[in-house]
Amino acid sequence: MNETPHLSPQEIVDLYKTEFGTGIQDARITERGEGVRKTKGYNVWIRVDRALLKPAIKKLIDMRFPHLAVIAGNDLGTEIELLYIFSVFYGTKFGEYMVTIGIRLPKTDLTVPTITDLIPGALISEREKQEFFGITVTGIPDGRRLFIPDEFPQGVYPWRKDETGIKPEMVRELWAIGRPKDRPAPPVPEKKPLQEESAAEGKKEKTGGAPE
Amino acid sequence: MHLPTRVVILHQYWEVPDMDLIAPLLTGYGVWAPVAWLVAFVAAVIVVYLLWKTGESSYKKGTELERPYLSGNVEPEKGAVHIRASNLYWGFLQALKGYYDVLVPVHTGILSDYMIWFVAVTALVLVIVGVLS
Amino acid sequence: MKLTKSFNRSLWVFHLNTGSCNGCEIEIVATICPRYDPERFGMKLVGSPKHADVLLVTGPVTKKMAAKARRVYEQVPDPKVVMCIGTCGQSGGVFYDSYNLDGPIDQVLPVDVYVPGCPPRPEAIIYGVVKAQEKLERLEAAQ
Repeated sequence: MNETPHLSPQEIVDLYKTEFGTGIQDARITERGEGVRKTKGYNVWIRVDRALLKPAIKKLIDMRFPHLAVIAGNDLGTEIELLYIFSVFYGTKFGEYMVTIGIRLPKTDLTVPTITDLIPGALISEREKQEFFGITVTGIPDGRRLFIPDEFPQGVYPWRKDETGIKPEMVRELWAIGRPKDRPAPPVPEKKPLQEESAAEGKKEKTGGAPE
Repeated sequence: MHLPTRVVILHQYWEVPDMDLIAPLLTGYGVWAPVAWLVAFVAAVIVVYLLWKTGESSYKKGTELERPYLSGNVEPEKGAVHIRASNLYWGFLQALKGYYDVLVPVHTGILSDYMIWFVAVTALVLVIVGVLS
Repeated sequence: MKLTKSFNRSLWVFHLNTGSCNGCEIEIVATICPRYDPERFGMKLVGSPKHADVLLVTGPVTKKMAAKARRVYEQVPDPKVVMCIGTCGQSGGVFYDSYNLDGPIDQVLPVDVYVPGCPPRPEAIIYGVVKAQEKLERLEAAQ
């Protein structure tokens, strides 16, 4: 397959803007300096409409197959934002940077198409978002729960900040649980703490040394 | 030169008819001597018992210590993890996949289909035999 | 439960992760590395709890892992020492109020030595092992 030569972040943003035009709601490039020499590191943030998600990802794949780091999620009140974080141009020294394609799902319609036909490894991250946010990933090959145990109640989505999130009575405070009281007594007693012993030693020495 | 008397007698002995039937009885048990096997079994049992005695006997029986370590998972019952013996010739089946894909659907299970095949092949064979001869 | 003399000399260690972030795992591996070299005492990491004398437990016990941790603990033959590495297993650590945890480790299995830290330094883990050996020596003296 033809791999495109290394593109700069601005070139990627221009390519996206020329292809998708109005579908792109927001495109930014942030820059930072890494390390002592302040080598330039870039992050490209592109927010698209939900319908353009798969064409946008396909465009990245056609350029050069990216590395999907994770699908991050965020609860913004009335919307849930999903960020598909890719790292592109792996292999060129100081040439790899992150491209994040974000979409916003209104809470009235929480569906998103699956990208496992393009990137099969996205299954894990999609399952995680399904169980923690309560979104529906249409066409997902395996929609079971991944990290949450099966006994967990169904309508509760732990990462949400609204009423379907974790309620205070579900929270268990581990620091308040002290040592267990029903353990058998230890077979041998603990040693006496060192301060008592050294205090006893010091007193003895003082009384011993005073008459001299 | 005279042959020794015993050999002459043996020579005559071997001329007895049906000698081959009782010849094995006369050569002894060879490696299948039962007394030798019994002694070997008893020696092996003693060695195994001595080795077993050096093991740890003070463990709690019937607890988790007897079950295998499967990263903390419960050991499934044996019926759930059995593999059929026909999996042994998986490679054979994979290699001849084309042949099996054609032939397995032909076996429809309908008796008249099998009869048609039988009659047709018999007719073909008779025709070929008639043409060749 | 008999303690032989060789028990105090070379402890074989099995490490169990009950949902940890792997920080304590990295510190355990750093402890085994040649810089601190516990292998000169005969201590090594083994792959099965049935070979182990010491069980190192890290992580807060997630709900999915609680039964499995109990089962692994029961598969370690006597005599055994259980060490809890890290503060996650002692008071929850960063997960002090979580919906998915089954409590500190001593609610699930009995612990002998607690090594706090997030993650504890290798020196702290070695000190914990020394404390465990002192406890074993007291047990042996009491027998």
